[in-house]
Amino acid sequence: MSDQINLRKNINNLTVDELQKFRSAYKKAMRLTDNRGYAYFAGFHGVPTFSCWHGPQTKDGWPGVRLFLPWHRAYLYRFEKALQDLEPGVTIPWWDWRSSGSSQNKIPKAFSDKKAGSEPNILYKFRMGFPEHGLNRDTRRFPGKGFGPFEGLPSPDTIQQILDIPDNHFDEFSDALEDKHGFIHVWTGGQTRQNGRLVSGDMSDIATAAFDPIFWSHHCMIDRLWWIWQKKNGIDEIPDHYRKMSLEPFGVTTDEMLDIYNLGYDYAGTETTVNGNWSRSTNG
Amino acid sequence: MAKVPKVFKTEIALSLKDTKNIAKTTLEFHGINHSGPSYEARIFLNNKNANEKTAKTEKNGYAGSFYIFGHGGKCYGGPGHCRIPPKDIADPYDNRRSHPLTPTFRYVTITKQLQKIAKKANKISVTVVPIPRSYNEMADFENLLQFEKLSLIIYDK
Repeated sequence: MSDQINLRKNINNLTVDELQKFRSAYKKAMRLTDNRGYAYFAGFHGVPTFSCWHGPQTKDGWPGVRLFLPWHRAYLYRFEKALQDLEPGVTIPWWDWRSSGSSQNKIPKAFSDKKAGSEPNILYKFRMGFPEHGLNRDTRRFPGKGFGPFEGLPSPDTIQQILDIPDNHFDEFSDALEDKHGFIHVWTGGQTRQNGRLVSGDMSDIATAAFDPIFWSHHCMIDRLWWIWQKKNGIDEIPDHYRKMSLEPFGVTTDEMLDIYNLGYDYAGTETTVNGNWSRSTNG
Repeated sequence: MAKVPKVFKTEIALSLKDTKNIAKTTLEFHGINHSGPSYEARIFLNNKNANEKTAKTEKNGYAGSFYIFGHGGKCYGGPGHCRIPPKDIADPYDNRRSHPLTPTFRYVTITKQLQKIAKKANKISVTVVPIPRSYNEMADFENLLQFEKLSLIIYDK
């Protein structure tokens, strides 16, 4: 169990200081080109490592293994730890793409504004530096634009139907949530025509998605939804044979990723706790 | 300009006597190739003429969509990097996961639609319309939608 619990919050609920701290952490990470840096962690998902877990896979001789949720929890945890080394106490906020605010404004202003004050907004884009793979440019996104009309962002009711999937149905829950996650990816990336050529946003493909700074907050929302489902159905509500499986390349098992309190974070919610009138430390 | 993705069409026989006994029905897509660009697969029932312009309405037989978050259709590795092994080996001592491009699985729940259709017909037509959601010049858009098997699963109460 971690000594300290850090709260992850909705990006729209960050105070000015919290948002500044979050931006500062990303800025410091983006400047680093070693194994503490933004590009290092983004590179686990697609180019160049392609370690991400999506859909059912075979693992340890078991077919149909769904480790999409625990793998991405481990991924966010490691990235957040790296950010905290640079900016103590910082956490990744979630992007609640269900909210009417998201539907209206598409992307939270914290990510969509090109500038933050007088400086470029560090959350708007990131420079991908892989000339050997033909990726030597800034990330881009065209949210909600596509070849055909895009449907709107998912309503709270749609997501509630997924959260209502009962216990003992982890695989069904994981598949349903992963499908919505995929929609958010392609909606955020979008497509457009530039100089007569079709181009798509980087969130739309596995190869480049994690380089877009909004990736982490999208996955923070996914992780939060899993945690809500876990709290309702049991924190260890997952097929037994998944628990000992390792989540490469993070060197942890699925079991170690189930309880987020052990990982030292929680999600801000409606629970309110006030101090009582006694502390054990004062007990002589 | 990319070619228009091919639409998948098929018919599945129904042998239902009592539609009231249906608890849940799903259309399950097995062995989906996700090495290409991301796309939306729109499923229409009893509408063989559905295409990318068909509105997603109940009247048009629209039953739901699934989304494939694809690898892009462009290999970033060396020769053989994206070659999918023919079959995973069930070796308990080999703790590597399967190849990242191992074909995936999706399902769409069609309970209400099937209950309605099964009252009048003994077969159901399924049309799957792929809509590209990402683009690169090297990808094979004509064959965007590829899967090994489609199952209609009816769960009794």
